[in-house]
Amino acid sequence: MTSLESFSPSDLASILDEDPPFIALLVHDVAEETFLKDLSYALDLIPNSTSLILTKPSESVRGLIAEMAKSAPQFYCIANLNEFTSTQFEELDKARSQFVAERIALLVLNEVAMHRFLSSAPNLLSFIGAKIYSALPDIWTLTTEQKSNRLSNLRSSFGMSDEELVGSVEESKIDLSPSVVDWLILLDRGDLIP
Amino acid sequence: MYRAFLRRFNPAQTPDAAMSSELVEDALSTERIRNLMAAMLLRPGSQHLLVGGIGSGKSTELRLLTQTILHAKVGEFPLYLDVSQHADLNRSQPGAILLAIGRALRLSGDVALVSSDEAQESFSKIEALASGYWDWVPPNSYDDREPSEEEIMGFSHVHRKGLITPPVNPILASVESISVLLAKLIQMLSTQGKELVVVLDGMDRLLDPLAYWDFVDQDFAALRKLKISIVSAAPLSLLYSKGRIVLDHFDSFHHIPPIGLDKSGLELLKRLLTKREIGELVHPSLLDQICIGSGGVLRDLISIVQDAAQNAYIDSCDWIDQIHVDRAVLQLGNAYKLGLSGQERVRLQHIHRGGAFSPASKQDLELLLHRRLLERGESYSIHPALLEALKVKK
Repeated sequence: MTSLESFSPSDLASILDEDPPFIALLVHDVAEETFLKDLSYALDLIPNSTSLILTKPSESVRGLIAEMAKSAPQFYCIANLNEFTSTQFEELDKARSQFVAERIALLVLNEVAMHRFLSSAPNLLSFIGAKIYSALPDIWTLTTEQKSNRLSNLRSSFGMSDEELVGSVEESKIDLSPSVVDWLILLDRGDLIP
Repeated sequence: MYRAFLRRFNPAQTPDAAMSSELVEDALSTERIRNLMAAMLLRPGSQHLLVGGIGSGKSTELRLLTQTILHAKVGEFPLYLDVSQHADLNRSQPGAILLAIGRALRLSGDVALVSSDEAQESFSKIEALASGYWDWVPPNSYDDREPSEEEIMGFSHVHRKGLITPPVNPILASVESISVLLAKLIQMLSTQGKELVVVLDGMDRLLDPLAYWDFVDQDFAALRKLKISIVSAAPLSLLYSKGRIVLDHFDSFHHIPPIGLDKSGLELLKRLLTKREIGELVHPSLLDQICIGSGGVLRDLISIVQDAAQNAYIDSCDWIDQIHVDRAVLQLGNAYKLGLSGQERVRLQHIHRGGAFSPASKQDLELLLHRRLLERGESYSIHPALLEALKVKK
C-alpha cells in the first residue's frame, strides 16, 4: 500500500483538536484497541477537547447509522469495521448525508477493510480527501530506530533541541501538549509531567 | 487562527453551512441555474437532471436553484430535499421519493397545510405508508396472490404475483395511492397561489443506472402526471452506457464537469478561494499550484487547502508555505493511488499517453466515478494530484 502520513495517538489528538476533519485511519502494525485507548488518553490532555466516543458497529449498516445518531454531538469514532463487506461499505456510502459535516468522524480500518472501503465508498472518500493516515504505535512500544525518528521529527517541527525543550518545560514556557508529553517520555524526563 | 481558517476550508461542510457563511461563489453556476429555473417554471411537470462527478458542486447548485426560485417570487413553492436523508436508498422501493416529498411538505410547516384537517389526514396516511403498517388479508380474497408462511386464524400476509411483464411498467398501485395523497396536498397549495416545484438532492448516490431507473420508472413518472417540475441530482454514470436509457426519460440534463485548468478556469477557482479568505494564510503565488492540483474538482480544491493548513500547523508555522502545498497535493494523490490495482494503473497510463477511454468498460467507468480520471471536454485525463503521486511520464 502507498506510504501514508503516519501519526501517533498524540499527533492525531492534536489534529482532531484543531479542526473538524473526516479521517480514515489505517491500523496495521498496531493493535486497534490499544491505539484508541492511547488516543483517548491523549485527548484528555488537551483542555476543552472533544472526548473520544467509540461507536461500535452493530451487525448492519442501519445499526451503525443508528449508533452514530446516538453518539456525542461533536465527535465519533467508528471502529471494528474490519468485518464489513464491500456491500456494507457501499450501503454506508449511500448514507453519506448521515455523516453530519460539522461533527468529527474517524473511521478506523485495517488493511483489508481499507481496500474494501477504497473501492466501495467513493462518496465518503470525497469527504475524506487526502486524510487517510496510518497509525503509529505509541511511544512505549517504539523500536530504537522509530524512537530516534520520532525525536528527530519533534525537534524539527518544534524547531528546538532536546535541551531547549526541557528548559522551556521547566520554566513553564511551553504548553504540555500531547506531542510535548511524548517528547519528554522519549527523553526519559517523565518527571517533568505533572 | 488555524481553527477559523480550517472551518472555511472544510470539504465535508454542508452547502447550507457554506452558503450561510457566504463562502459560495455564485458566479460558478448562474447561467445554468437561470436556465433550469426557466425550464421548470415554464413547463410544469418537466424533469431535468443535474449530472456531475462526486464533489463537483451539485448539492450547492441545487440549493442555489431553490433559493433563486424562492427569491424570484413568481408564486412557486420550491421544495428542496435530500432523498438520502429521508430514505435508506439501499432498501427503499418505488414510491419512496413521493413519500419523502410528502414528509418534506409536512416539515415545511406551510400554513395552508398545517391548518387543514384534510392535509393532516394525508400526512398521517403518508407516514403510515412510509413507516409501514400491518395489513391482514382474509383467506381466498385474492387468487393471484401467494400466501406467506405467516397465518393467523386464516388471515395471512400475501404477495401479489405478476402474470405478465408489460413493455412499459404501469405505475404500481402502492405508488398510485401515494400519488393521490400528494395530489390533495398540491391542490391545497395551488389554491393559495403556490405551485410546487421539487429539487431532489442525494439521488446521485445511486451510482448504478439500474438502481436509479427503479425510481425514474415509478416516482418520477407519477410526479410527471402530477405536473410537478423537478430537478434531480444524478451520478456521472448516467452519461454512459446503460445510463443513457435513464437520461432519455428527462427533458434536459445539465452536466457539471470539473472546472477547466485554462486561464479563465484558474481565475474562477481563485475567486472561490478568495471568497474564503485564503489570503490570510496563503501567498498569492501558491494559488495556481493549489488550483491545478485540485484538477478543477471543487471539493478537492477545498481539501488541498485544508491539508496544507494542517501541514503548516503541525510544523508550527504561521504561514502556509510551498512545502505544505506540495505535501498536500501529494497526500491527495496518494489517497487516489491507494487501492489502485495493477490493471488500473496500466489503463491510466494508456489513457494518459493518448489511448481512448472506453465508456463500455467497467474498469474505465470506475476510474471516472472515483475521480481518478477527469472529463476534459471530449477527452479524459488523470487527476493531476494522482499523476503527481504516480509520477507517470508521457
